[in-house]
Amino acid sequence: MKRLAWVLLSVAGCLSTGWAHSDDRAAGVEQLHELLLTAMTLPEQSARENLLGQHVLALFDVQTIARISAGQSWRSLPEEKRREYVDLLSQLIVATYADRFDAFNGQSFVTEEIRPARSGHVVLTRLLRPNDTPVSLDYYLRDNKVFNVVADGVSDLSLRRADYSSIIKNEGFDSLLTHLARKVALARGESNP
Amino acid sequence: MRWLLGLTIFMGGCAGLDGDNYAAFDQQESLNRKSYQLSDAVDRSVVLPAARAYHRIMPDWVERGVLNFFLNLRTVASAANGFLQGKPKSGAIDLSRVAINSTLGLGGVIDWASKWNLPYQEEDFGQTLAVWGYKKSRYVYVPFMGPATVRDLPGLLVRSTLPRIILGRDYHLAISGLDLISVRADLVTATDVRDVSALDPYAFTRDAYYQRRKYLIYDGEPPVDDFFDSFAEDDALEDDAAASDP
Repeated sequence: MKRLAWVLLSVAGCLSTGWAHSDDRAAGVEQLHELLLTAMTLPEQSARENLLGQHVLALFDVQTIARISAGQSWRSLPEEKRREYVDLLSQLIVATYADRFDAFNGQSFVTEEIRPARSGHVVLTRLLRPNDTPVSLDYYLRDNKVFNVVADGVSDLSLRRADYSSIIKNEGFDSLLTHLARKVALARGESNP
Repeated sequence: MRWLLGLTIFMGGCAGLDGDNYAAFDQQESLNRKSYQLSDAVDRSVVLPAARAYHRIMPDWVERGVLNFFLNLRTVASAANGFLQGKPKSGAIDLSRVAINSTLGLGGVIDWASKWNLPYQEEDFGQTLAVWGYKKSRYVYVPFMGPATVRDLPGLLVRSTLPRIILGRDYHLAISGLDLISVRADLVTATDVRDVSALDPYAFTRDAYYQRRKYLIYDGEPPVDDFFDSFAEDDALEDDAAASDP
């Protein structure tokens, strides 16, 4: 009887540890979703950026996103250019979130599953929209930091890499920085496309 | 469960879809870019303004009804491709959709089937060829029709001609124009997002197209490890660089 009690306690312990671990692994993403829901009620882009900025930059591995998006040219970049590029990309990611999530129309987020992968884990979520089809939003994490978001099968990081590589190849790295600065201004409503 | 007969072929067929250097499949990039630019110019000057006007004028329920009507016609092809891929459940769901929406849904205008948990399965002949083992395919930007691969061209042809085959003479110029404008209006948000996000809209469109196709071929469940593996090369480069640093 005593043995059975220990087994039950151990199983319960494992389960609760497992749950806590699962919750921990999705916590950053779920907090982002809560902040996005709040941000959608704020009318000003700057207010939304202020609300989201700190958490987004803590949650996202911008350095990795920048490196992978730049492809092979990353290796030949001087440190100063890397810093400028990472800084612009950080601004762009925050500004884009603040720009896209700018109106609350009854949306909600659901965390569906945390799926382990060979070198990290994936938090599978859904954005539910009244009178519209849900959007699957899958967050890819390594070391508890998001490096890729996949919306209905389309990977943000893969798109960035294709997009940025094309600009680097055809126009050079400095042109990429100019384009990024323009996109930040555009997301903030400071310029035309 | 859902894979049945197609499972083995499917997995083999999709192996070549791993790795996402889709630019390598664009062997006629110069020609495709010209096709994209021409199509984009026509879109921006004629089709897009008409689609925006249509969206402004039409009540949401009318827009939805028009989209539903044409989707219902095309669901016949989706059903056939579900069966061809060895997914009888998928084919049966699409057939049920056609039966329900064509009758209770007033010729397809009202989508009762989705409300009754019978969602559109979105199959096409390009996906069927992928399931049958046509792994890699060159990129083509079809003038005025959009991104495709050589493998997807027959499906695109079926998609564009099916309403005419079903409706016959009733699918005249005005009706086919309505079909085009309603689909374009439905895509306005997506292309607006592209215009705001993309630095090179051509490369962005190509990559998004390939990714979306892969997602559909895997029925919305591509292997999660692919998204880790596809960036492994970049990580290896970084590791090499770190190792060579003094």
